Amino acid sequence: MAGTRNYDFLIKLLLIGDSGVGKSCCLLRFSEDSFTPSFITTIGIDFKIRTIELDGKRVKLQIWDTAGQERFRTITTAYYRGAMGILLVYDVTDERSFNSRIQYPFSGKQADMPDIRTWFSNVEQHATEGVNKILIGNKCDWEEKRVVSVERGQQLADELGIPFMEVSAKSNINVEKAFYSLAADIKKRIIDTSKTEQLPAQGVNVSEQNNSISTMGGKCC
Amino acid sequence: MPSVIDPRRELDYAVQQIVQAPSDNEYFTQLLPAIKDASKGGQGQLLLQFLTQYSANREAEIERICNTNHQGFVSSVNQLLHVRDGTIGLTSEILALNHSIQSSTEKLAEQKKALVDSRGVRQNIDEATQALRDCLEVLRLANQVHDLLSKKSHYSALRALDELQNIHLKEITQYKIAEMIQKSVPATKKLIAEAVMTDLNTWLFRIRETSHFLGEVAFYHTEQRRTRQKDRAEALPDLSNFKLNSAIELVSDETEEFDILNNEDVQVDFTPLFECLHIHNALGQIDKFRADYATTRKQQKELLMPSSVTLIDAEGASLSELLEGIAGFSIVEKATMKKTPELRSTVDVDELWDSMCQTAITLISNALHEVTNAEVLLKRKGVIALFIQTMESWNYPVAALNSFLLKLFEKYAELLKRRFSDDFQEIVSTDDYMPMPISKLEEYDKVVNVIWYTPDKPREEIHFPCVLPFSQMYPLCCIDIRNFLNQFYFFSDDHFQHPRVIDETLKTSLDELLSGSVCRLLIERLNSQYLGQIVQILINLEHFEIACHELEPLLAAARSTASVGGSVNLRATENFRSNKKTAEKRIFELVNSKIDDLIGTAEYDWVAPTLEKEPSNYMQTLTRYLSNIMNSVLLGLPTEIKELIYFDALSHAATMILSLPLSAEVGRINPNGVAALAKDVQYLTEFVDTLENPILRENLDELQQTVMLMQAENSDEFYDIATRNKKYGRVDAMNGPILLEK
Ligand SMILES: Nc1nc2c(ncn2[C@@H]2O[C@H](COP(=O)(O)OP(=O)(O)OP(=O)(O)O)[C@@H](O)[C@H]2O)c(=O)[nH]1
Ligand SMILES: [Mg+2]
Repeated sequence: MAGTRNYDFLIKLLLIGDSGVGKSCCLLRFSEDSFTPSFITTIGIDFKIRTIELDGKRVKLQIWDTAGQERFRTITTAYYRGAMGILLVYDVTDERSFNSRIQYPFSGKQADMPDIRTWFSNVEQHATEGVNKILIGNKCDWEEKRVVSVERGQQLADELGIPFMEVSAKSNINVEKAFYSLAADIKKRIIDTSKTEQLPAQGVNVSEQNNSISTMGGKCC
Repeated sequence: MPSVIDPRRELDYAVQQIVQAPSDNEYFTQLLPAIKDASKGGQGQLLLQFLTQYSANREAEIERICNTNHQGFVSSVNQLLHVRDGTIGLTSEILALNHSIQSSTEKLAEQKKALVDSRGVRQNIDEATQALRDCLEVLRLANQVHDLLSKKSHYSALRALDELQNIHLKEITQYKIAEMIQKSVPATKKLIAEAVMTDLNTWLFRIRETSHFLGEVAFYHTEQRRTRQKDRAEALPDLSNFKLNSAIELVSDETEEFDILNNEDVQVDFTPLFECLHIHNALGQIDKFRADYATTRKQQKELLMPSSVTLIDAEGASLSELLEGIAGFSIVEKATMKKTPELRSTVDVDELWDSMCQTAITLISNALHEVTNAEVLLKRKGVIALFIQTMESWNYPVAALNSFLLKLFEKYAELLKRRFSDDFQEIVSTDDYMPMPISKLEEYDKVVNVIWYTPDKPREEIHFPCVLPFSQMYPLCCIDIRNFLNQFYFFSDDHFQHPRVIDETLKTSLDELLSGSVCRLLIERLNSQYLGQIVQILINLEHFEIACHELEPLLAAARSTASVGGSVNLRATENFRSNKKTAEKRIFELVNSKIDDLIGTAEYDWVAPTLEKEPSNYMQTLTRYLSNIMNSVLLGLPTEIKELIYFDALSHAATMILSLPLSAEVGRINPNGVAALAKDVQYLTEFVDTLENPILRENLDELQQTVMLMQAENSDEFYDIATRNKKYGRVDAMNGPILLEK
């Protein structure tokens, strides 16, 4: 590997969840350590880069922020494949972002608005198998408006078999922790396992590239 | 009647009669009156003498007879004696009678004297009575003066006093009382003067109390006139050019007679003043009175002026009270001047007016700082305008007040600017920076009616729901701008004589608002990390620029004076225009930084042992990302800007990619490494080709040729000028050799 690289590993993450749950805010908090209360919805796709250190290694995180709005679904779904870790974000002050079936108990069919289960099944459908996931309940600073309890969040995470964390982009609670823990899990899953398989050090990247290449080839353009 | 001239003959006759009396009885009848007469005439003696004479005559006769008739004689003598005795008795009786008569006459005289005496007393009494009567009349009149005084008939009292002094008192000058009353006259006059002054003071006090109400009624009346003028102007638009208090307005409104001082709400009776003036005139104290009155009014004026006013009370009562007070006071002054020209001088009245205006202006100015709401200020201005118009109709000079309105206007403009600046701040900070979704035709009409915008499709052809290019901040700001303009002109409603100031201030304020608020706030938001927001800002700037273009002629047309004419140029127009470039640059910057980020994840192995079959992951991500943003976040931009972005992005990408093998840290490059790069460049070129824009391809020329050179079997071709120009014309003269070296 040439010396131009200023990192040891590249990890691609993806943020998904309903519009307004705070995906962009979490990302801005993590990448710029800033927060703006005004809601500027994401159009299409966006990404941020932040390099962190894990176990003495420089890990470059390329974090893709998707638009929660339905109309950008085709654009955003294309990014599931390349993702090594996915953050499923809901808003603890918005029941529908968590569980829309409770909101429409008599509708018979599934609600129009996606909820965490819908997002989860999208992930299952489009993302690479075995991709790391984490359930994130954002806006935990806003206790007065909370409608989804920590317990329910934890319960759902257990049901889906993924880690869970409540965060606040606004008050900077657990945001670092969430990204770090997901990155650490990925590192453990991909990099550390490939090491045990005696692959060369850069194998991580190879495997990551393989990940993307195999899917991208068919998908792109 | 017996003659007094010859009592003797009479007596003689009487005696004859007595003596010749045929009988004794007869004798006495003759005798007694004779005696009576004699004694009455003081001729008793004479009678006696006659009688004696007679007797002597008879004696002699008798003697003779006797001589002859002695006997007879003797008897006669005897008889005679007897007669004599009788005579004597008679005489004494006569004497007694005389005596008694005398005594009764004395009594009579006495009585007569008493009568004369009593007559004199009676005259005295009569005279005294008359004098008393005269004095009583004077006293009655004197009392009447006081009665009239207590009945408040001061002038009658004074007239009565004058009458008393000049007529009645003159009639009794001899009496002490006259002197006393005379002495009391000045005191009484003073009393009258005081009483009338007390009356006047009561009147003045009442006037002071009614002043506010009078002002209120006067304001109301002016307002009615305003309404009528408006109604007339509606019916006859020509009339709208004539302001309140113009000759035309006054003539048109003539039918509406209204006496401000005497109507069903207020009645101001000047009688006490007239009386007072009259009386002081009569007293010869007119100058003093005039001076006193002037002082009193001055004091009242002082009392009228509060030490401070507030402009922010709910109903504006504080200001209204002040102005109504001044109006009422000044109307009374003007009315007084008209009714009693000798009392109030124009100078006095104007002086008070000026002083009150000055104070009012100072009071209002001092309170101005507390006003933070333009509507409140507008309402207060309305009251002041009403005041000005009312007072102008009373011929008071209002120039100072009119110029004060300018100061109010300045403040108004400042408040409006602040308010709208806050509004814009709010709008800009709460905007979603998304093209505005419209669900229905009604909604579309509503929006399009307030904005400056030329739709590219006719209204009928639009399918809903649709999306308008700008975000909702644009219509919101347009509404605000329109409101701002309207509210500016609200100030000139009713009464404001500086239309040009409004025009100028409006233009400057709007310009400052658009440049200083809207534009500045938008530019500040260009630091945003959200590409979508920046794109929307650029689109909004474009629309604001259009709005400015449309506003300029609108402002010119709205100018109140045609004479000013000319076009209006807003600095904001240029500001929006030039800041579109700033926004554009920021978009380039952000897109380029993303490209840098992605190229920063390129992982070429320049000395790879094997040949890479697929394009790099970063290259695929880059092209997909570019394509995605072009089709989503940048989609709404005008085509030429989109092309520019692509152009800039690709040229930046090419430069960055080229810098990868050039990096000093890259020592050696093997054919596998070059092949990988070539594959990526090829991939990029194919991507650009799909964009179907030949100009974009040119951006990749240097990169392509450089990679070609790196792949070339014969590197000498580069050093041959002819082939180099043909094949590697775009390759940098410095970079070429460096890469060939590697
Ligand atoms: N109180 C609170 N508000 C938050 C928090 N995070 C985000 N918000 C607010 O939630 C709104 C939505 O945030 P975004 O991050 O733009 O939402 P998003 O998930 O990116 O939405 P899309 O881009 O439309 O998919 C914004 O108004 C934020 O200010 C938080 O931790 N606490
Ligand atoms: Mg977002």
